[in-house]
Amino acid sequence: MPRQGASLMSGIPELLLLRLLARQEMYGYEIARALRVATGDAIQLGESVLYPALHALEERRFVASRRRLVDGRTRVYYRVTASGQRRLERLTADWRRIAGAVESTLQEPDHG
Amino acid sequence: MDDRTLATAAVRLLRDGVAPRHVRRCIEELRAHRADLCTQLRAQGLDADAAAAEADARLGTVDAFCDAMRARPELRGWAARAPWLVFGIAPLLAFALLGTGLLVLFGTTVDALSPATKATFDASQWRIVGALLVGAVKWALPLGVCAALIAIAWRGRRRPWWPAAGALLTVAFAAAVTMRFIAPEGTAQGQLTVGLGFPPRDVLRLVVLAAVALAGVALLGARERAERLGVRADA
Repeated sequence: MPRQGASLMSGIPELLLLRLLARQEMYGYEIARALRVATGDAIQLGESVLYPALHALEERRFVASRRRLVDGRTRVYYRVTASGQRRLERLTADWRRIAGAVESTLQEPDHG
Repeated sequence: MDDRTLATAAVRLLRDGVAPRHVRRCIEELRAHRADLCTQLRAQGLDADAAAAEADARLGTVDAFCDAMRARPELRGWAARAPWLVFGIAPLLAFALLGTGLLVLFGTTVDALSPATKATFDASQWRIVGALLVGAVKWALPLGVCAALIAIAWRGRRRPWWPAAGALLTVAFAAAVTMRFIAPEGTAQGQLTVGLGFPPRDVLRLVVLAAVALAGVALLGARERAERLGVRADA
């Protein structure tokens, strides 16, 4: 599966990250693994670009972070905030509307 | 994305205006992520080199990471977003507030002393206290504010022009402050007068403060030149 271009992916990482973090608190490496599993490797991003997205979400108060010492390593754990939860609901509704519209267009018989 | 590549990326991001706290933490998280990936891949049977190569492939290129950081306006630091505020207005405000705070603290403390305690100080001791106070406001405080300015620029890899302008503004403002302390002597009460006089008449103080502050700012330029030469040497 080729890697998708950044422009095609814009907006999707935010939705996916919020969805994953709404389930449970995770650190970057766990998020990358969960993303691979959840999408069945259909969406492959350079894993390093997760961090700018996470920091931007944190700056916008959609996620919060805390440091935890696990097995002698300091991990930065992220979780969704209340406003992040509301943002996730809005993004999910938008995505479903767009995906539904695309799906119904694809299912229409040819007009030609 | 070895340590050296990440260190170079950090410098690039700071120069491009990304806030130091985001740069530092992202780099830290990337290092930990790469170490986790290598551990996992080695556990799957890959040797160290192959695991490192696969980990780097999964992380993506350093250019993609830097582009993603730069593409997020939320991650830009205030020193890059509003240098006029950080290096122009904030140091003037800091000097004014800290100076006022110091004078208020001194006045309140002296007022709170009982007459018996005050009587234990003779005129020469009051003069020493007064000289320390005047020295703190006229010299230590402006230099401290300039040092903070330079530290912010140093940490954020800012170019020296804004810090130089801010340092000169601060020392010009500080040099305009006039202070006179008269020690209490016998039954005569002490007196502390503070004022502002523009343009600053204390030219010697202005020149000395400016020279010290600009010497500090020159360190920023020196490091920038050294790093440029280092990058050229690497290339």
